[in-house]
Amino acid sequence: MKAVSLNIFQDKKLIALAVESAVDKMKGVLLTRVRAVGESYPYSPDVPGVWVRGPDREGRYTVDIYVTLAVSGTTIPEMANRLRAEIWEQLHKEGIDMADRVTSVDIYVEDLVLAV
Amino acid sequence: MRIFNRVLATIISIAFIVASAMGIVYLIGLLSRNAQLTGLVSGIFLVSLVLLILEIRPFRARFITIREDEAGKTRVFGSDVERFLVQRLARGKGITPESVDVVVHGNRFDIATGIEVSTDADRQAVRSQVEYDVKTNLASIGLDDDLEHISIRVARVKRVA
Repeated sequence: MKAVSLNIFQDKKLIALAVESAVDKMKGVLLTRVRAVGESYPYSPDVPGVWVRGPDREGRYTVDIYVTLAVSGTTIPEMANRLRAEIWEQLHKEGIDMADRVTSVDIYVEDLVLAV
Repeated sequence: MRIFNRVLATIISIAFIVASAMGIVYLIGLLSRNAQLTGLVSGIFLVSLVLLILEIRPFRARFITIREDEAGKTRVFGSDVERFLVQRLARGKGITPESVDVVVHGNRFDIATGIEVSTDADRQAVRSQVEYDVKTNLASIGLDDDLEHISIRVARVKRVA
C-alpha cells in the first residue's frame, strides 16, 4: 500500500489548479464556474467547475470537471480525449506525481455549443 | 411534451381531489374519534404518496454518458443534444422547430422524435428522412456509436392558412 499524503486539501488544490491550467490552454473549452439554478453537484472551493474526489486507500484521486464545449469541425469524444491528454500533461508539468495518483477524469459537458 | 404535461396535470389534479376527499374523511374520523377510519385514511394516504412520486419520477438522467473507459466518463447534457437535433431536423422540408419534439433518454441513448407535418406529406418519406437526419447529425458530433434506438412518430396536422 502506498503512503497516503496527509495534506489532502493541498493535494486537491494542486490538482484542481493543474486542471484549470489545462482547460485554459484548450480552445473551445471553458470551465462552467457558475452552477445552474437548482443544481446540487459539488464544486471545488479552489476552482469552481472542478471537483476532486478522494483519496482512496491507495491515495489516488478522481476528478470531475464541468465544462462548456464549443464543437466545430471535430467531435465531442475527440475533444474530450484532447482535454484529458492536456490535463495529464499539465499534471506531469506541475512536477508532482499527481498524474499517477489521478486515476480518471470525468468530463461533464454542461453546455454544448455547436456550429449551426 | 405537451401531451406529457397534460397527463401530468391530470394526474396531479386527481391526486389533489383524492387528497381533499381523504382529508375530509380523516377529519370526520378525528371528530368522531374513530381510530379505524383515521388509520385507514393514513394508510391510503401513504400508499398514494408513494404512487404519486413514482408516477411523477423527477429522476430522468440529465446527463447522457457517451463514453466510459478507464480514463473516465464523458457525459453530455441531454437537453443540449435534444436542442441540437431539433435545430437540425427543422431544416427538413415542411418541418419547423415548433413541430419537432425530441426526447433523449439517459443511459441507453434512445431517441424519441415527434414530427407534425401537413396532411399532404408522405409520412413514410418523412420518417425515413428524419431517421437519416438523426443518424448523420449525431455522427457529425461523434455520438452515433452510442445510439441504440430511434423511435419516430409522424403526425399529420391540418394547417390553417
